[in-house]
Amino acid sequence: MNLELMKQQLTGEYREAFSAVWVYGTMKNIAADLLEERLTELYDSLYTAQIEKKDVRRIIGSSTERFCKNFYEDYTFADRLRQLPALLYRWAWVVLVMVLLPLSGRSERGTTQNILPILFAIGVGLVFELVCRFVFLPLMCRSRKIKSGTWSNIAFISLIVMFAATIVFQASLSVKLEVPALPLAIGAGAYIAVFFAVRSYLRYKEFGTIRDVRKQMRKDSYYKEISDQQLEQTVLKTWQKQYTKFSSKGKATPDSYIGMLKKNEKANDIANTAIDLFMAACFISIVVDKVQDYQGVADLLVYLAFMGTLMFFFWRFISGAFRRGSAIRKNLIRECETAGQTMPDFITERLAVNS
Amino acid sequence: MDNAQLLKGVLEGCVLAIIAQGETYGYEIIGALEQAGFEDIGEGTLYPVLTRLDKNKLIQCRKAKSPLGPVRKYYTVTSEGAECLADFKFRYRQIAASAATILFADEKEDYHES
Repeated sequence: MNLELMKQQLTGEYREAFSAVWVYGTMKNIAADLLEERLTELYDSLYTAQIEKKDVRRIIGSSTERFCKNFYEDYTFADRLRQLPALLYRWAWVVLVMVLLPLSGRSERGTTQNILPILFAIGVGLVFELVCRFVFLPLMCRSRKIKSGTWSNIAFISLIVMFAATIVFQASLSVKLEVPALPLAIGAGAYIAVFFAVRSYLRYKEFGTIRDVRKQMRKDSYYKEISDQQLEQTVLKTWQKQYTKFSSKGKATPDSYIGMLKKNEKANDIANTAIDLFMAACFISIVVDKVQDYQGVADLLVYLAFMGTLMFFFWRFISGAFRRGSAIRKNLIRECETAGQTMPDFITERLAVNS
Repeated sequence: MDNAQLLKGVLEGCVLAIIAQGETYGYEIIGALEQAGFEDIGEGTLYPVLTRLDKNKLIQCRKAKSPLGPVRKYYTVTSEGAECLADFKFRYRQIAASAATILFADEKEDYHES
């Protein structure tokens, strides 16, 4: 997300250069934190060049491909191996969720778990990486100009197709790879605990705290500001486009447009409440389901704590984005009313100030 | 002969020398190298060099908000870096002198003949 916001701040050739280096790094499967670190530095140089109106070639040279190769040249196999514990940590969560929730592959008695879907998913990930590295990347570099958008779309669609094909193939298979569910869950849980402890220790040793300092630094820095400003800019541009369309069809006038927006906001509030109610209903149904399958107080509490936490974060993720957008839109409507302007005039003026 | 191969050997030392002059950042280093006459810096060669120097603890970096807004990495030389730079200068001078003796021998002869 941060990288996306950085991209939005760049224009023209600077943005295209940034995107190309980003797509190249993603296709080479450079670790996410390292990619972000490198691209943040590149962004700073490109952004400075953009402000100072310096040629983009001053930063990336005449060949984007050569730049990309040099830019990531020191990312070795050893670096890739260092990412393995973090990758396993994510997979351990997947395994744990699959075992704790009857998502797929659980035997009727619940004592064994079919791990074939997990192995297939890992396999698809590996094949996708190889395809990106040995097919897409050379083709992308061979084309006259690196079109990052096209190639990231091709890669994304390929991944979806591969996953869909795997699901269909796996559904047609009658073979299962059953392993005892409890040891699998304990193994995954133990790995998560050990990983968490080691990561906390290393963070404490390096930064004096177990919190993710780098994440906090990003929060404290410019990104939040960019994010809010960017969101506001996007809202204003959407409104401007919408107003042009509506007014050309005679559906809106400068005075009536604000009323339409207020009506939309009311509909959005209803949608937000519906999301809250839906999530609450989901949680209640999970509780009822588990109570019917009662296997002791401890089991019930652990299950509900796990599901509650999972659903809370999911709700916060879904609802947070809605609420933030809604707050920005409502604030703009309020400001427009206070200024006593028509909405189209307010939008034009605000866009000019922001740019 | 590939220019990049020639450049690789000296770039690390030059970047270290620029950082040794005072706290600086990527874009400024590119400017300093360009000003000195290095032409192919805008080829992505600088960033791996900075990472290598950082990994080898020859430089250290701090992240702070730049005057333009985004987070910027500011680099300074460590004590090991300062020692390494002094050593690099000494070795470079020796190698450059030896190489010049061979590479420009004919020019010297021409000069003496004329």
